[in-house]
Amino acid sequence: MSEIILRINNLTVYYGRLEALHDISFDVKKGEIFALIGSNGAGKTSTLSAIVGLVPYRGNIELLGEKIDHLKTYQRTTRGLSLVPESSAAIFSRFTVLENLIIGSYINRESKNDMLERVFSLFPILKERADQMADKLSGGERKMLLIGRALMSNPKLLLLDEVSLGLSPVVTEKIYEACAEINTQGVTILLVEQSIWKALEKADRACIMEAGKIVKIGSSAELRDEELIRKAYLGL
Amino acid sequence: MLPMELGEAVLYGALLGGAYAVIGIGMSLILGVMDVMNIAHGEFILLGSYLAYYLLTTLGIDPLLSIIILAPSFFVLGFLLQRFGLSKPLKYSVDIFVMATLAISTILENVYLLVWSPLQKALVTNYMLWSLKLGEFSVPFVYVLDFLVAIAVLVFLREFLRKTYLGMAIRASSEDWRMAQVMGINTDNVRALTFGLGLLTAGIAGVLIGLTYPFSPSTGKAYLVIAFGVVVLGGLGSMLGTFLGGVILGLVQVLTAVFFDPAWQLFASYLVIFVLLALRPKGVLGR
Repeated sequence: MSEIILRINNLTVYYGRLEALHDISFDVKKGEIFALIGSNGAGKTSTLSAIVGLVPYRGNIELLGEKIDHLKTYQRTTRGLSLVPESSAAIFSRFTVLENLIIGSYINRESKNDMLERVFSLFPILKERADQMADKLSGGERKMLLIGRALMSNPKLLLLDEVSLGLSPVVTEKIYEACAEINTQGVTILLVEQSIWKALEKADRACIMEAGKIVKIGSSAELRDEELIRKAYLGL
Repeated sequence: MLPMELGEAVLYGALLGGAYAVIGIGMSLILGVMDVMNIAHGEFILLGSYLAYYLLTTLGIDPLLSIIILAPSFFVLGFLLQRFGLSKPLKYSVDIFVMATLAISTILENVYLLVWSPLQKALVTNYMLWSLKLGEFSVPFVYVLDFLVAIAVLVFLREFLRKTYLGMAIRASSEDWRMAQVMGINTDNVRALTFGLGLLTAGIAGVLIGLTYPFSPSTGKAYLVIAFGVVVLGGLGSMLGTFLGGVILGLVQVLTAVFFDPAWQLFASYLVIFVLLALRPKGVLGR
């Protein structure tokens, strides 16, 4: 559990003149579930976007000890990063469900069939809907498809952006159960979540963010016991 | 007599539409995937005609055989041109990309003038005057050839886009290039591949149209107008739409020439385009 898979050093992101992230640093250990927690505008999604190279940033990012700042998004995917975006609109809506999964294996073609089996065992509904157009899926099914598609590249680190957003508690629970199973299969997970309860329940460690800065980092158990956090975020 | 005339005109128009579809398919691909208009599309088609003419007149290679040489050469030309010549203008702005293709179009037109003179040329073959009996109608062999090759090109592209990883990468990039990159797709290469395929079809179209009509250095602009018409009629992103766009344009032109006056062909074509777009802006089968 101690090997560092992702190291973020002094990361700063600007959108025009607006500073979305200010000089944040944290590590994600191999094999853990690490959560970024915070309200809207805290900088969680900007952090994920910077990690996969979708937004320009200052500072540096290391994946398994290798600096990846010079790499483009598609090259970062080949190094083992895979993003599940927040928006359900990120599915390829003119593709079938199966085609969405197949394009997920673009850099992992030789294991396509094994990965498909793995995804279908996690989300059997996707197998039933395999030949349907992806835009005909429900919100929960779309999230499952986004996670399944991201898994098809056989990533080392899965970045999950607000997978529970807009879903019913039952569907959210199902998706988190699947994420736990993915994690036990050896995939490290960095998840972004607005609900501090949910995040501290699911993650091994977490980082609380506010207005583009890190307020606190620690194990979920430590953070649950912090007086400040219990009062400010958990309402206890 | 009238039904006979009508039947023959419809058949001619539909067959001509196949050739129009091949003229339009490259533009449809490039516009659909890259969201930009290649203004030099007509000149690239004309390059196919002129190179087939060169191969025929100097080396005696039949135009149909020359497709085997020209199609892959055009693909490589398109790939390299986009990867190393047009990728920076495209990243800078769509307007600059369009200006760059306008520059290419003007350069090519002037090269044609210098090398082949302003005089009309034609791909003269022994089969250009053949005709085929289709039921009660007799139609030129080259029209049937245009139609069959158009279908072959469209089916090939459709299967390529659906069944191969590269084809799916093109489709994914056309829908959301950021997400395509997240999938590990090098979208710069996808754009180059798309431009290469666009030029490959332009090369084939050049040979077919060169077999069907005479051409001169200024003919490229007419091809661009046809391609534009086919794409907006059929709708972006659909092989079947492109084919239907070509057939509609072919039918309108032939029927206008037969029942009114050939001078009204362009007017009628664009009247139909305008009315169709006013009623259905995304074209017949566009997304």
